[in-house]
Amino acid sequence: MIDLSEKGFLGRLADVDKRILYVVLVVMLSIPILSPLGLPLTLGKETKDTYDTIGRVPEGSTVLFLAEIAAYLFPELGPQVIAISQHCFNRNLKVVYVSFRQVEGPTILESLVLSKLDFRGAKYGEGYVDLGYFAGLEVSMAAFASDIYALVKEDYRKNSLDKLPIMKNLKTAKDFQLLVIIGVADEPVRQFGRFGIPTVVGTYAVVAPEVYPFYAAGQVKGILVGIRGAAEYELLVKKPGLAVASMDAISVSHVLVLVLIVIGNVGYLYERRRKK
Amino acid sequence: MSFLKRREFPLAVTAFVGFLMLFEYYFVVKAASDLAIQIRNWAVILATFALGVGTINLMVVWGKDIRGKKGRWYLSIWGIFMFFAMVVTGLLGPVIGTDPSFVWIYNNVNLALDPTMYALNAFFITSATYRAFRTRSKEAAVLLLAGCLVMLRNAPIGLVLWSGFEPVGSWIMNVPNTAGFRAIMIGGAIGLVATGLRTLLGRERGYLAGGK
Amino acid sequence: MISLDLGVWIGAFLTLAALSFLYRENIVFEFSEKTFIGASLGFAVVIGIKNIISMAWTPLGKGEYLYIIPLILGFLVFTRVSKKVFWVSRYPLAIIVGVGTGVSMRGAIGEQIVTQIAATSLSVITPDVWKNLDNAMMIIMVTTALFYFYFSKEFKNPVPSTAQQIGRYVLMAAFGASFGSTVMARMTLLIGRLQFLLLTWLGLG
Repeated sequence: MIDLSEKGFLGRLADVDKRILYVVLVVMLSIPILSPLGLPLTLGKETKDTYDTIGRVPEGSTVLFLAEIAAYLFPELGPQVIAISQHCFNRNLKVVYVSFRQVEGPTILESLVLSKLDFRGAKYGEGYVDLGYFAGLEVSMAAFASDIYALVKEDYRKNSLDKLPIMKNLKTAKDFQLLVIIGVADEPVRQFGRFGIPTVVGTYAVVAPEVYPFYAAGQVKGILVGIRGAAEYELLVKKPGLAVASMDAISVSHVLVLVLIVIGNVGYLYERRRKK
Repeated sequence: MSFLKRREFPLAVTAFVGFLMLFEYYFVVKAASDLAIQIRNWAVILATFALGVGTINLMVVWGKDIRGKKGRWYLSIWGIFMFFAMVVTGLLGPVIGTDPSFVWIYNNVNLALDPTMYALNAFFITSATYRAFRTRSKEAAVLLLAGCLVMLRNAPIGLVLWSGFEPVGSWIMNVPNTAGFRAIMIGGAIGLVATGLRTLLGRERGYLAGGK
Repeated sequence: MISLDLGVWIGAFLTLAALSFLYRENIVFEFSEKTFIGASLGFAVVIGIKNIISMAWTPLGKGEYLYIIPLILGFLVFTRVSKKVFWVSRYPLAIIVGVGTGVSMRGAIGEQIVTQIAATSLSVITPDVWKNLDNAMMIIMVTTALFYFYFSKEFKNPVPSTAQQIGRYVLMAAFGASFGSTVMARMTLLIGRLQFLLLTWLGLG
């Protein structure tokens, strides 16, 4: 019979010092990081739809890529940007990177993303360009969407737009054949949705549930959800990286959280019955 | 010139500019469109300046701490030093923000600290789910169940335990989750439009902050 | 093998300094906090200066004299910190607020209200039985959740009362999904830092 007295086993279990939990968490996560488990990864429909949408864009088309990466988002969004960008270059698509939300986006792009890509012969200024960051969020998105040259005078590397062949036929958002949104989707969909450009979203897991209404309505054709979506996409483009390497630890962390929820609730329910 | 201090003038500017944005969206009038594009671009430049206001406020606060020797005031000196280190290295070279020393500081300081600050939440979530996440009511049970099923869908181990977690988790995301957040989105958007109208009509004046 | 890169050691020290908060608030954590705030603000100011030069100063230098207006208005934003002349900052802020309000309203009406309501008008008589069920549930769930938002008082009549109850459960399911996703997000950040410490810094694994 389990001891349900005042400080019985289950009662004490519910009172464990949180610092012990922290140590348990770190130790449990370290194990799969140091010694990967190799758990299988399935392909979600949202990820497959993202891949297929990019796959349907004709070669030579131009992609508007909102690379809204910040330092605290890099573990989730960095691998997404790398994987989707690689897919675009594999398909000989031209990519115009820009940022309207994250002031750090262009810096992270230049120092941590572009160096990891195989451009398949595409040259800067012809096959891809980094236009930099523009403050104002929806204001700058609306400004960009209606007249690119009125807003943007130079790219992030201080090249004048008229010296960049990739920008030659791009006057408004209508001139793009694909929109890739990395990060929060609300404002970009509000500002670019009316142009009817096929849109895919790669977002961090916290806001991913909020993108599903756009996905269900067809405003967004595919979603990459956090590190899981990034890992699936890395496998699709055959470029396994940071995301795939993290999935075993994700499994362990989730099992730990679930076990703690169960233990916590079992203890709680027993205490409640005991008090009755 | 003291009449310019009155709130009516900036409110009129807000109204004019805001209604111009709406007019230009729904009616094709070249003059309106050209003016709207010009004003939007100016607004982007103004928003860029606004990035600096928070900086000045913080420098004032840190300056007060240093002058008054409050708390660990010497760390405020360090914070100001880091600020200027970024600004000086960032302005070096022919292209602002690309100097290797600026990028080096960013990669080894910001990229280390920013995710770590947020990673602290992982510990708090672990502790909170254990100590506070209780099925006290039917609603809490629904929340917990949905959360657990989504977690088992997201983690590859879910597939190892039971292949059904993927379709069940997917259903939760695509049906109840979508329905819930669609309702929130519609409600939020209606609220945004209502608040926007109040702002353009001068009923919302919070951004004017103080004065007569 | 343990890293010999100075940058990696600095990153590792700062990471551990920030994590020390888990034990308790301490001087090392506050040091990392001030480092972060100072560096982040400095970064934003650098990019701000870069943009102002490229978007306004350079065109002004090339003869587009109208850009003097946003440049002057932009500097007027800083009067916000002065108690005497802060009213001047209301004008540039009025432009920012007006434009922001206008563009967000027009986008919200089209993409978040009309399109989302249209997307909820789903058919329940398709050949696929499960799709019919899902569509019916979607219509009921969206309607009841919206009902729960807009009518917050408790109804005695069983019809609206049941609608509210269903709406509440729908929102709980959505928040549960959000919680499940948040766990993955936060764990990803911690895993990223642990990978940095264990693999990049200490060279283990």
